[in-house]
Amino acid sequence: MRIGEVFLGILTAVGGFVDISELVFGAQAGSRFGFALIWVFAFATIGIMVFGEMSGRVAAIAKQPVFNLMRHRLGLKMGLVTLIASLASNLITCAAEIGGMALVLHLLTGAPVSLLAVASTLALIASVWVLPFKWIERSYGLLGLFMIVFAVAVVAIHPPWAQVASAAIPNIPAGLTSSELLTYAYFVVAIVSAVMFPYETYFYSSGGIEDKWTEKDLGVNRLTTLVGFGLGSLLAISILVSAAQLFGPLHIDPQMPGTVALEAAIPFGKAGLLLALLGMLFAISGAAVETCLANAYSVSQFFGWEWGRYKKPWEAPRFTLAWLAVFVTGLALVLTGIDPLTLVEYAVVFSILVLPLTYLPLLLLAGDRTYMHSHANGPVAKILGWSFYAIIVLAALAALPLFVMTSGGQL
Amino acid sequence: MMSPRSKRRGARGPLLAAAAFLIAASGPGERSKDLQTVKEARSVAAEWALTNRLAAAGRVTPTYAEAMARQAKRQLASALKTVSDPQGPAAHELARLTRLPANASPDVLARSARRLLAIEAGLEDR
Repeated sequence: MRIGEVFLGILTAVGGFVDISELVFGAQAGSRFGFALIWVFAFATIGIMVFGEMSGRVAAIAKQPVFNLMRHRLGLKMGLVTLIASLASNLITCAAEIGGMALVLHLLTGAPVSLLAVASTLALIASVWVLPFKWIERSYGLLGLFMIVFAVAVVAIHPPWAQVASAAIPNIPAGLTSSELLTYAYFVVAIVSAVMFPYETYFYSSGGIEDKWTEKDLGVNRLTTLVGFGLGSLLAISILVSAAQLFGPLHIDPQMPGTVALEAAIPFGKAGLLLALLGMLFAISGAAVETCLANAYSVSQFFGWEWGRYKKPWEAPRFTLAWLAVFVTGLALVLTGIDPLTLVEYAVVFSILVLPLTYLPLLLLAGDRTYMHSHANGPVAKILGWSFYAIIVLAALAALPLFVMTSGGQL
Repeated sequence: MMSPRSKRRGARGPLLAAAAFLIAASGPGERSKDLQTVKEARSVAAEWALTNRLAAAGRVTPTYAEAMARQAKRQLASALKTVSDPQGPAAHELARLTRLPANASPDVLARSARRLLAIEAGLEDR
């Protein structure tokens, strides 16, 4: 195992962990409920570690990407339902990320948002067209490390660490009204969804196949998912903690994505603001690329088309057309003027509905010794996998009623 | 011929659609919509106040402060169109906010946010 490769893989996972939904829900969760929702981030991170590791292992041993499995395990009809729901969820997420990029660029340059949305999309298309897969993943992941300024900012504002640590244990804050309890429950579901977005496993497992992972890469896979996702989650938790300290007392529940950057501007001034905005820009751009490619991977794998960024764009024409179409449709959605935060809310609800269908075939195959041989799920992976699966199903059942009853967490 | 099991499966579609419709129809009423609008507007006003306070202290760039103010005013104007009573206190406060310049005093903005917070508390108590 090359140490440099592992280190880069971990840094990439850290920088690529946060996207616009974690920025929004992390900040709003902190400002509305103090530190109380930290445990949900910690808990959901264990979930994405479990399923991320499983999808990487399946890619390395069975050489099967998630959507290939879905068609075989769920059958054509159910597979098609999952495919359509995933495509919709990823498309909305991709549009939210493009809108978020345009907003952050607007805060940096002052240029018109619609023009910046077009420019951002063209830049994304150019980067996916030109760069090989490994460098697409690494460029955005490593540039996303500017987000570390949020973790440094938390240290600088001296939060009450004992309270922060104790919030890592599941809790419900005392004295909430029934409507606040519903909103708290909505945030629990939304954070689980935002951390465990299905596109992450589609992208991660397809990436494993793009990188031609074998049994030798299982260690890298384990380290990337455990250490990389774990450290990435700390960035999301930092955003929550700063929001609880800085925004809550001022009655701010960030309604504008740019407000989150103030968490770094308060302790570090203009330099902190610029680092935060750059970190947000690259983290969001990386997520836009991941959601877009996840859709192209899904549809190509489902219909058995040639796919992969290791091929030249014209060597896998339907795959290329698919990711181009996602970017263009995402841009079109943004240009209708719909608020990116509204898109984030829809994406989060849609995604949690898709999650059970995404993770079931993965769980079944990762436990199947015919395909996985000695690398099939052991007792720990089985217990964790099925426990998280049960929780995801519960969250999926609760998501839509909670979304409607709390007006997307705004009540 | 359909088996009883597939018939039951077939009947689930309309049931699910009806359930989804009921959930959607039981969504927030006018008071809840106003409460949501005022909550969002209160936060936007407070975000604008914090931005201008940091801008006055030279801790954020002028481009950032102006862009945030433009966004805040746009969201407040949209909230003004949404409130159910155009003559009510929430509408008055929102109209006052939308007339303020981008570099409005942070104290003025913070006072407006506090007034919206009071209106919000009234709506919650109703």
